[in-house]
Amino acid sequence: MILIILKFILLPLLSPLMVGIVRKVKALMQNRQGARIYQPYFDLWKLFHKDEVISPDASWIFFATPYILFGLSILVLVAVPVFGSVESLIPFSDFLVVIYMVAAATFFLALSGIDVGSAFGGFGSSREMTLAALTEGVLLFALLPVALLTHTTNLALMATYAANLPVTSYFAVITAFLGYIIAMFSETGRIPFDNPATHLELTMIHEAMILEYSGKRLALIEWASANKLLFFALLGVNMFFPKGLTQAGDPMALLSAFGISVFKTILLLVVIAVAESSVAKFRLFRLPDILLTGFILGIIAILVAVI
Amino acid sequence: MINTVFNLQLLCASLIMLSIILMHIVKKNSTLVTAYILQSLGLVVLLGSGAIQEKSFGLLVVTAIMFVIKIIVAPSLFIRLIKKSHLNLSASTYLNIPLTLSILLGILVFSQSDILTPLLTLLPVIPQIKTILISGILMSLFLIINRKGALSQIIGVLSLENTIFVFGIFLGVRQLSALEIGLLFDVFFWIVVSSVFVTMIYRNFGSFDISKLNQLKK
Amino acid sequence: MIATLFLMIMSLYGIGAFTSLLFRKNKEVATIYGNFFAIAASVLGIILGGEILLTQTVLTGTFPTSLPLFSLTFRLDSLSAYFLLIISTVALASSTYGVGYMRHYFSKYNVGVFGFFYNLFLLSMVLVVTANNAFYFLSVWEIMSLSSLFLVLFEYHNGETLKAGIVYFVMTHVGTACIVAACLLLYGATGSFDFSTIARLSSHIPDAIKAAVFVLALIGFGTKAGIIPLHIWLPKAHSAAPSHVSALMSGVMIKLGIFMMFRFFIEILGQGPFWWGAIILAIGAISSVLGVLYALSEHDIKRLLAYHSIENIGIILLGLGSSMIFLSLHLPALALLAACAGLFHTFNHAIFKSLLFMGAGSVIHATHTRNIEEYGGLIKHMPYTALFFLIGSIAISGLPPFNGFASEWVTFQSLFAGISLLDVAGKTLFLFAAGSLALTGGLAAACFVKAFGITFLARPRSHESEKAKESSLWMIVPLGFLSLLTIIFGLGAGWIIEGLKQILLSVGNFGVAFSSSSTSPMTIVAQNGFAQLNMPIVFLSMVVSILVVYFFTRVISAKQKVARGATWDCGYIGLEGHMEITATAFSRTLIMIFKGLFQPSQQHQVEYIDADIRYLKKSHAVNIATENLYEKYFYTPLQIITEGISRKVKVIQGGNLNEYLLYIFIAIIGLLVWMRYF
Repeated sequence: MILIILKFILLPLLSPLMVGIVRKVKALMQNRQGARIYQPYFDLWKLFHKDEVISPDASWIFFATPYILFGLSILVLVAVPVFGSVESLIPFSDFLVVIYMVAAATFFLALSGIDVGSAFGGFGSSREMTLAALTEGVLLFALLPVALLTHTTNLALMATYAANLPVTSYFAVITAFLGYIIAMFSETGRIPFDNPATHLELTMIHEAMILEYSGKRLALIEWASANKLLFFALLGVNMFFPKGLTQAGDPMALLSAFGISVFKTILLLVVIAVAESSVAKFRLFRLPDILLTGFILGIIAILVAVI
Repeated sequence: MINTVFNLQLLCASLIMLSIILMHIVKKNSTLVTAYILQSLGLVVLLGSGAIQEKSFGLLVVTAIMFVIKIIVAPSLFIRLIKKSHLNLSASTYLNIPLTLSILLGILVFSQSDILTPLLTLLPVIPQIKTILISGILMSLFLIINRKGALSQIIGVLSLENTIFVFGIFLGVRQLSALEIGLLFDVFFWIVVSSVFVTMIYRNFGSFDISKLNQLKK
Repeated sequence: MIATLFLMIMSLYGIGAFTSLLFRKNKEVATIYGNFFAIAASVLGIILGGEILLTQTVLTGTFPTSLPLFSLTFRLDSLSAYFLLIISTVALASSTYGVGYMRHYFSKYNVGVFGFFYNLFLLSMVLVVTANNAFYFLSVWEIMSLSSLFLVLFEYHNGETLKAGIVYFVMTHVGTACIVAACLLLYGATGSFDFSTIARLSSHIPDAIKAAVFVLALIGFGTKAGIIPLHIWLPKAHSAAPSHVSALMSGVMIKLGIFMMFRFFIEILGQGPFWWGAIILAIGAISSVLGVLYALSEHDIKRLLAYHSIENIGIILLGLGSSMIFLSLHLPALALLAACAGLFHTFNHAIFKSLLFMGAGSVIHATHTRNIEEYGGLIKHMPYTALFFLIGSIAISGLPPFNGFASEWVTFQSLFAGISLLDVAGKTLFLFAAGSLALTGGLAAACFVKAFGITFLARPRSHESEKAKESSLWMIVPLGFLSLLTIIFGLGAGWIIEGLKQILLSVGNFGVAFSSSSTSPMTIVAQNGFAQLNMPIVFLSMVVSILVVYFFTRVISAKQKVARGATWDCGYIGLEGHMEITATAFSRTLIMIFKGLFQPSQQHQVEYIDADIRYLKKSHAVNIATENLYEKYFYTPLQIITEGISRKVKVIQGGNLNEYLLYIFIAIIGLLVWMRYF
């Protein structure tokens, strides 16, 4: 219980840093100096202290969505293992529950995109739901091989058991991880799916939906998407490369496990930033091909995982 | 020690398999070559680890030659070919990506099914490897079938050769080193001849595309 | 006590039917009689269903008739009671709703006759789930089909409605014909029309007959359930009927097809071969994906919901199919779980689908159109309807924390079990099913963002929706009731699954009763701890987390103000309703992605200000239409063939009396010869 509250406070505090790191690496890749990695914290602080302008067309859904989004994003973060098997006691740490919580957050975000009646928002929602609908299966099928290999769907147990898998299952795990990366890029709105840094009307997806937000609500949404990024990175490293998670319960072991998790996450994020810098954004109608590839990779992993 | 080597070999087999899947989905010829390099790298490590484990000098030599041919010579030949003919984006296929991937899945399911059981009882390896080996060979074959460009087909043939080689290694058929060297040179000459051939075709007709070459008959 | 209750229910529906017909001259009175007796009867139905489920009794009885094979045998076991509960719950809501909804028919149509068929329809559904004799079952099944047909035809001034009615009439009778054939085959094999007797003797039925019965029953009940490709009547009929009847048809009537599948495939025919389950699983997977895809391309709100019924029937069949596969492989524990998933989703779908249909009805009531493109901004005029519709949308999209998620979770678990345990063929099949279910969930969410967003959010797109008003209390209260049930069923998922296990164990063929798991029923446990789901905790943690965030924000930015300013419009002044995204545009991306399945056609109609200089457009209309592939490739050829055969057969109908006498003569001689030698 203490652990839950600890994670509930600690992980959201960490997530803007991750966004900062990704931005920094991308800036360096583009031969720019870039902002400090703590910049997202200042941005959030500034946004929280600004007044808001909200369209008169907006209904309560527009008002409530940031809270729902942020609340769910913390919940899924809490569900991800960062210490080890002690976290299997978190009651909603089931991988289907987590996937569908992410989907629920997307559902509300898309609704709020339509809510203000701007054409941008509507098209953003349409694209977001299109991608989300296709990504859900990819994500599920990327995590399922690990679940089948470890005989549990509890995220913490999956991660701790996955550390002791025989080498024969590595092929399945690697293939599943490739599928997972595709799902992760899609869900967190990275290039080639969406460009988090653009406000070009023809291409933006996530930014189009939140165009009408300002002030504290915008801060919440930005923070929620930072949480989502951290969630996917943490889940990725701890599901597929679970070395470092502990089965013990004493504070020192937990602390070191947490440190290793964060380190691995940062490593993954750097890799992602580099990968993102080296590809171009794809046309919307080519994205289903990528997602399908991820889906098939998941199926291959499942077929090889359980023989 | 044995266990580590075995694990390494497993990883290499996985790498080879993944590179074939990569070959099926990439659009650029240069990425295709990269995938081929990856695959050959897997093969070389696999063979090399086996050589070190068995302390066989002959095998080690084969590995070294293989490294030179498959990772250095052949890819650089291909890259030069691509650069010369400005054909980086011509890796067109008959089936689109969804259909291709579905067929790959079909192959995977097929290679796990009961149909192959009598054949596979010969193989003294675990089922995961069996799947990877059989489906690897079939997928390489399908790569040759599916691709239009001559270059991709050459790579498909080479990939088929690689997978058969791996199959042979896991089957435990230790050929004589001399024989293997001979085989390698055979492949090498095949690469050279076909590249020359392809270059000539390109110079004369300005295309690699099989369907366009077909029209030449008329 | 139970028998009395049962008789009272039947007589209340009967009284409702006849008083409504009797007072048809006075529309107010007719409506009140028609609905109030139905409400009373459905309340009693809920009590009766609950009573039987709690006490685990089985009520059987026979009304003697003079015909030897036609006995009015009824049998109320716990499975019937469960479906009686479904019927009564939805009937309670829809009858209450009907009091308010029928008002806008007063000027045009005869409400009294409607009340008659409405009660008859409800009565026949209750009788269907209790019938225990094939003959008797077939007659009430037929009454159910016909009374619902008349309800579909209620708005008979509308040409579309008549067409829908004809398609429904034909399809339902094709289905009934197959069921009759199946029952006759069973009679031939066992010599009895009594379901219990057939079930007892089922082990003596030869396999070939069983297979034939399976196929015929699948077609027959599948038509009623609306599986693809037998679904074409469903979107037409459901959109034509008055909304609360659509709710009943979609929420309950098509479930009776599922009910009979459970009865036939699991109880009566007993353990079947692998391919039975495989077929059902494949049909379920295809129906779910295609159903939701067709729903995406619709912009008639009721047709959209009707297609979602097909999708959900698919999900239910995933449960049933995997249960049958596990049974054939002797894995009773998993079979039990999968069957529970199917039954649980049946009730859940009944709740949220009727909620959505009635919500759509309220919207139609307020705007007088079924076209989503003409809605918009209704959340400001109809806040309660919008809230309840949103709850229904979340539930049907399978998102936590409502009931749709719980049942999809259990379905997923049974599919995962199949993936991990079976051989390659079975594994591939289950993978296909799980992939379909995942895709379905995502697409359903996309579709309901469209349905809810375009209908209730943003600015109104037509004059009608600008002046829409919240509907009367008669219509809001049932929506609230069903929303409450949606939440309760989500929270109580664990208890319900436990209860369903008891029901299914009593129905049979799941082997011995095994001890329930040691954990509290609050948690659903699948496959010996492979997965666990604790719905109350999920709900609670979501609520707490969102509240914490809310108060945290309140504290951090306490001083900041909220100003209202127009939506950003790139400097253009005055955004209007028609500049927002439309339903067609919303789903266009997905339609183009799946264009192989839709074969969409695009038509541009451009009007220029000056026809010679084609730069300035006066108007530009884009029409994206999707082809109905089933009608084109399946039903039209079928129709042509049938017509061809009919023309050939016409030759023997000469109209000459002597000719007909000759036929009779030949028939008699033929029969005599056949009797002698065969």
